[in-house]
Order: sequence, then C-alpha cells, then structure tokens
Amino acid sequence: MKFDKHKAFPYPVLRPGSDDYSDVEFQVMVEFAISGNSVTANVLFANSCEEIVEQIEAGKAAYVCVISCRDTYIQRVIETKESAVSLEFEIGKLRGEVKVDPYVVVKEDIENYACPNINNEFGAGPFAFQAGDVLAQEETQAFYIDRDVFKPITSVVDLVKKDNLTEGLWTINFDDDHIRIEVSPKLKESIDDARNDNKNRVILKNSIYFAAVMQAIQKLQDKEESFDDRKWAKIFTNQASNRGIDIEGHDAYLVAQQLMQLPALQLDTLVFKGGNQ
Amino acid sequence: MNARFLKASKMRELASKIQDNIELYRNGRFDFIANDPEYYFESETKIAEELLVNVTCSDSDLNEVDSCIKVYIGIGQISEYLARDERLWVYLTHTAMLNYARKRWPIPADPEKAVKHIRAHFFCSGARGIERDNAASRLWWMASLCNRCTEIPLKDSLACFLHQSDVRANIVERPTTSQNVRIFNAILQRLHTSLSGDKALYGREQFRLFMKNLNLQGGVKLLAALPDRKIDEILDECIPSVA
Repeated sequence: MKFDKHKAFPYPVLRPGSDDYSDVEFQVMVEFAISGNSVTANVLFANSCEEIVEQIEAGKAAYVCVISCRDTYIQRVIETKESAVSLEFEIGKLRGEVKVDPYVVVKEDIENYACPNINNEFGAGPFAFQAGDVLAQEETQAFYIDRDVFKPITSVVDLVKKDNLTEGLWTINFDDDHIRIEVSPKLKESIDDARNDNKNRVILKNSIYFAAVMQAIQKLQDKEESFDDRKWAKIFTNQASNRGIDIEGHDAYLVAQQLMQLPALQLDTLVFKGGNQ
Repeated sequence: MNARFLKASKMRELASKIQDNIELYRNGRFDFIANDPEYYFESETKIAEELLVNVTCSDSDLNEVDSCIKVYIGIGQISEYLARDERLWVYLTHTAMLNYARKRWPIPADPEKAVKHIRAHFFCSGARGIERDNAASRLWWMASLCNRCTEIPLKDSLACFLHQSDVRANIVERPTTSQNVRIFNAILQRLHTSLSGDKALYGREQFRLFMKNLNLQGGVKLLAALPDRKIDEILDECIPSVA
C-alpha cells in the first residue's frame, strides 16, 4: 500500500497532508546502520493521537513498518506495540533503494472507535475497522544501502601517481569508478609517508581531498557530462539522499563539508588544538 | 571455481564495442576475457561452472525450468546483494553461458537490431535487465523467487511460475506482490492448483483480473500485516469466477 496523499480511504486515516484528523500527528524516524555482516534498521514511532495509542495498548492495533528492497525482492514487516524497534538484516539481503513504509494497522476488528480529532465530514461516528485497515500512515522513506554508501565519502577517492606532472601540481580524473587524484611520483611518496600520522591525514582531508570532493559535486551540479554509471557518482548521490542533503540546493563547498562530515572540526581539534583522536 | 566479476571499466568497454565484436557474439568466443585477469576479479564465492556450461535449450524446447535449476545450483545460493551485481552475469554471458545465451536469444540478422538485442540479453541494461533480460541472471532470479515458496518443490513452483509469460510478468513486475514471501507463496499455490486442474487462472484476462482485485484489496488493507489465514481468504475472494 503506497503512500498517496491524494488517496481517499473509506475511513479516517491519520497521515501527513490529510485533514482526516486535526491537531494530532503520526511521525516516524528511521535510521540504517551497517555493522559487521548486518544492516540494522532503527525505527522510532511518535504518535500524538491518544485514541490510536489506546488501541495499540489494548492489542487491537499495532505499529507496523514494512521495509522493502526492490533490487533484492526482500520485504520484512516489523510489528510492535513499542514506540522504538530495531530489525537486523543480513548484509546480503539489501542493496540499492530500500523503502520504509510505516503504519498503525488494525489487528483485531474494532467497534465503536471515536476520536474528537476526526474531521466532521466523516460524521459523528463511532467508527468500525476491520483487521488490516490502516489507522495511521506515514510517508514512504527511501534509503540507499550499499557497503560503500556507509563508508566515508573519500573511500571512492584514490590518490595515484602520474608521471610527467609538474612537481607540486596535482590533477583530478573523474572518468573511472573512483575519483583519481593524480600527483607526481615524488609527491605521492611524500603523501604516503605523511599519512601514517593522524594530524597529517586531517590536513590532507581538508586540502587535496576536500578540493576533489568539492570539484566532484560541482561536476554533478553542472550536468555537462553524465557520470550516472560511475560508482563515485552513485555513492555521492546515495549518501546525500540518505542524509537528507540536497546536492543541487547549495554551493558545492557547503555540500562537500556536509558529505565529509565537517572536516574543519577535525582540523580544529586535532591540529590547531593538538588533541588526540 | 571462484565466481568471477567483470571489471566495471571492462564491462563499459565491451558494451561500447558490441558493433565491433558482433561476429564474436554470433559465432565466436570471448576467450580473452577469461584468460586475462585484467578483465575480471575473483570473489570468494564458489560456483560450479560445469553446470553453467551445460545449460541448454533448443528451438522446440526452451527448457526454462531445467535451466533455472541448473543456474541456481551452479551459482549456488549467493546473497541477493551479489546476485544483483551485473558484473557477475555479464562475465557469464560472455564466457560459460555464451553458447546458451545465443541459442536462447538468437541474434537478429539486422545489425542495428542485433546491437540492441545483445545489449539486452548479454548485458544487464536498465532497471529490469537483471531479472528479465540478461540470459543468465533472469534464470537465477526466477529460481530464487520460486525457492522462497516453502509449500511447493522448486521444480513444481518454477513450472507454474513459468507456464505463462503474461502471468510471470504480472507477478515479477509488481514487486509489492512478489517481495512479500507470504503473498507470493499464496499466489503460487493457487497457480499450482490451477495448473494441475483446469488452468483457468492462467487465462490472460482471468489472471489480470485476479491481480487487479488483489491490488484493490491491498489499496485499503495492509495485506503484509495480516495472518496467513486472512491472506488466503482475501486471495480466494479475488479469484474471478469463470463465466
């Protein structure tokens, strides 16, 4: 059952964008985390309609979350009366877009349901519901699951040596699956040595890598070339989507900071203030 | 042997050279792919290549059920994550399953049509390329879906799933139905009953109406949250009576 704000149910349903109910809300927060060989979906239900909560507590209804992955044809259904719940998947069960559809669903037929927040257009009530009917629905949330999507964005940026490059000059190549920062053999050797130190890694992240990520975002924004089939572009786009970042909505330097999780903070803590991490 | 995945850059290169390689697709071999590690990388997943080489069909018998089972056993029960990786399947359609691919999906004589045809069945183009078009991956995915049906042996569930292409397309192309194992199971059971009886549910209009009714029910009731008994009741109500 897809979320459709224009859909008319034959009974009142608490959902965003609908005036079936007034002054009460059903909201759901979903987060995915990858750890070892599993992907965990953490779901938090927030429901301010006391009458629906009463039905859940009485066992007549339940919070339900349908998690569906189109690419792997996997669907799991979480059913609970608790407001917070987690579901673990084997890592190989999800890939690509994963949709999460949250509901409150009737488990046992309900007679004489009444709620003062129901729109008068439905009549005075009381209302009856059958098992499977939906009392509340939240908008579909989409996530992108790929092992690389949960790694730092710089995991798709490689530092490679390029002969005949003017010393000190570096270039960026976006033609492969990974972004390639090309440096002279001498500079490559120097950077490889420097990487053994935490502070140097943070400096690199805030200099060459930041510039590469920013330039990649600029390329995606400009749309002068298509990078749709490049892995780095998919990772950038999917990470941005998972974290609610609008790649095209802000200047490239701001998007880069968000995708790299504010690298200047590490610079401040580890380099300027000399802390440990 | 270990499963091999074509490198993404090499896959793009092959896709861009279909026209140049057209004779290899028609009559030749792509031995340079299997012989040059620059073209592929190996995973730790073991596959039985000898089974894949032996997947066959003929002009008079597409041998779909047997082919599905051979590929499913040959590839093994790899994760759905890996099975979604086009590089695995494109490697196979250019190596172990090349002969099967061109026999099952004969390449048109017209060069322009041939390129389009090869792109569809020897590569995995578009969102549905893996589950519908690629000569190798579609077999694994159909077997994988039918293997989720716990009530019917795999060979029988494949037989009823593959009996009529319109029925198969109606199920696969409605992922909201096929994703849910319990609903998918319930549909296959009804097809299984019909196949061993009057086959009425395989009628084009009959099945479309059945799925339409099911969609209508699913529009106001969350079927996935119902117990099996209730799902069975609803499905039985959705089957149109034969005139």
